[in-house]
Amino acid sequence: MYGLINKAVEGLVRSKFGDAAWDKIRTRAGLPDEPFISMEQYDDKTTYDLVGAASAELGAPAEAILEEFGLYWVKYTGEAGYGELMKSAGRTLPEFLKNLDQMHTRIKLSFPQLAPPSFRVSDETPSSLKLHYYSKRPGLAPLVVGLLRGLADRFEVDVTTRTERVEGAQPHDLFYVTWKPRATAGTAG
Amino acid sequence: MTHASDSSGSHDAHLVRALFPFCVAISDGMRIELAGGRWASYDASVRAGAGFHDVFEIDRPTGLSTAADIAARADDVFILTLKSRPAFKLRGQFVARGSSGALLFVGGPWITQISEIAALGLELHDFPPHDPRGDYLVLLQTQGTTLAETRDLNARLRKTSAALEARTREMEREMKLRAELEAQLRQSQKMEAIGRLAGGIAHDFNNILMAVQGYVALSLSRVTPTDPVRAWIEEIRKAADRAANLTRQLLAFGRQQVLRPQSLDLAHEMREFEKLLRPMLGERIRLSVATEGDLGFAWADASAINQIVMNLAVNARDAMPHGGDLEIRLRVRKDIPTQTLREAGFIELSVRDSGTGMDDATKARAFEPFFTTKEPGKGSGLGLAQVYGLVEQCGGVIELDTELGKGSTFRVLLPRNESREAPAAQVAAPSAQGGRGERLLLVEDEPLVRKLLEQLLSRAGYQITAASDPVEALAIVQSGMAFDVVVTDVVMPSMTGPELAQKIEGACGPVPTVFMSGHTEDEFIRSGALRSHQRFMTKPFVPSELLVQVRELIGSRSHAI
Repeated sequence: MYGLINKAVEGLVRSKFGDAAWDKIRTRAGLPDEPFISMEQYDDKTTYDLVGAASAELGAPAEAILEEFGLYWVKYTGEAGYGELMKSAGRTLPEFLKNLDQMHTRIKLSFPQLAPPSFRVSDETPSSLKLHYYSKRPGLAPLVVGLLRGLADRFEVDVTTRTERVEGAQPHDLFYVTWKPRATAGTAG
Repeated sequence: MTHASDSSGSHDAHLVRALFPFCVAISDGMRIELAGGRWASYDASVRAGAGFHDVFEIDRPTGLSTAADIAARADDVFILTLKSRPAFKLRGQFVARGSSGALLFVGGPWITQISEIAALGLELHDFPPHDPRGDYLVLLQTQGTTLAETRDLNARLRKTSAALEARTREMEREMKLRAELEAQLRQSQKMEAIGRLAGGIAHDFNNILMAVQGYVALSLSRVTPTDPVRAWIEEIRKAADRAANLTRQLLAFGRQQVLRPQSLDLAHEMREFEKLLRPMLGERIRLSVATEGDLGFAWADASAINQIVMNLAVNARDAMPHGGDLEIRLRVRKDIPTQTLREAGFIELSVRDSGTGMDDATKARAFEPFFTTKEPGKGSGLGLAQVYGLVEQCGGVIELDTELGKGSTFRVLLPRNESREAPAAQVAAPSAQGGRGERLLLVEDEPLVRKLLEQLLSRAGYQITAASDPVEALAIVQSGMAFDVVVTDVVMPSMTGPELAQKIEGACGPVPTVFMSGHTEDEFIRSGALRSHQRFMTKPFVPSELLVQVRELIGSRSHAI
């Protein structure tokens, strides 16, 4: 994976648990004390080791760490240099999800070794859709749950998701996504 | 000129509108005949039937108005401004649609910054996949992000470099300090070792000198004033006195000189001492003595202070062979870091001369015994060594500030007496007197000295019982013999003189005792912690001094065992 992902993991740990926690996790993962380079390709193992170390240090299951990372990733890419791309990828949740695959394809221009997951939208209604998630990397479905939560915050909607594993010729994870406008704080009167 | 098929046909029109969402087909009369697929949602004023110049302005090339004008520049890059939204510009080219004079503008939003996409209300998918501008925008985003990351890395690098530089400076300071401390430790260990050696030599010399001086005194009492041998014996006495003086200096350097510290008014001492110094320094040296503020009292041995100042003054005088200034100053210092912090601080006694000064190599060895830069025969090399030992023994510190050609300043820091106790009154020394048959136990392991003292004390009228070691002496006491006074050496093989005195006292009660030593290793004697019926004498001493001490003890006490 590219360093951008590992930088985001570092950012998540530092912002939520502090610099000391990051030092412990980095040490446990056997990584040197040096910054990740966004455009540099790292072995996938580095990211998996970081998630494992974070899980051990923070006493949380890896799934929870991944979900938290998904939530953070939306915020991180929106703030850390990819905000315009995020903004240009859609003005609504379903629009964004439909453009997600195309955005990844375009980004491969900058990250030629990128092996991004693939997203496909089907069965779209005004308040729901099915999101098909295809990835060669195992066990990352919880990350997508976090991503959907992050996008819900971004587009200010309340989202509910249900996950289902689809086997067959093209095994993938299927997310039943429904949303409704986020209720704003009511005023008395 | 580039030609395109007529795009007004429905199939082709659909194709063109899909491929170029921001295209515009115009007639030879400059009226819009077809608008790209995105115009309807982006700006409905761009529609079929609208006048081209009503909705667009041609920025570049300039001065074109008719379709023919434009067709003539069809190979050029065109930039159009949307009049309803001047920030929105299109970049592209015009192509002729057949030979009718109709034109097709093919292009897309002209964007140079990724941030303009959102600002213009556009989205990434407004750039069809065949349009490289979409990719260009992604690259722009990555470029901006990479630039920001590079800046961030640079900032971290600068921070790390600054921290490293600070740490390096800190380490250099620590290493320098460590080197200085190690040098101090080495110097201290060297001086300690030399001091022990010097003390040991002085001890043996003192016993020999004791015998020489003693027998000289006995011989002088037997020869008549006119006897020609008397002059030779006098020469022996002078030589022995010089040798005794040297051993005293060695003992002082070895911090083994017996000191009797007391509350001392240093300002008064210096005023008195100044009278002695002036004649010694000569007329070519201008001496000044100054005191800053209220010094209080020092806790020191008066004779040691005199020896210190005398040695420093002699050293200064010799450094100014053609005359100069010698300044002695006294002031209170409270800025001296010590392991045992003294509330009262120190009194600084500085001796500054305007003489030749020292180079670094000489400064490093200045306090070593027998090290001298003076001509052979002019100096023993023991003066500053003695100062060093005395200052240390007084619980003080000596600092030397010197530079070749710029004179030297010695700063002696002496502990200040915290109780501000008044100086002790001087007691007049009694004169020597003989005995009246009093019983005296003499304990001395050195046969030469024992034999001398036995003869001396017998001749003075005492009944002498001599023992060659403390065990024999103790046996004599325990056999029931009674003594009026004990005269004992301090350093002996089986037990020390003070230990012997303690055992005698345990068996028979307090007994007047005179301790003698040329090598006082016992701390209680060096620190002056003697009891009222005890005295201490430094070897070598002249016989009359011992007789005075013995007489005084017998006279002031009526104890007998």
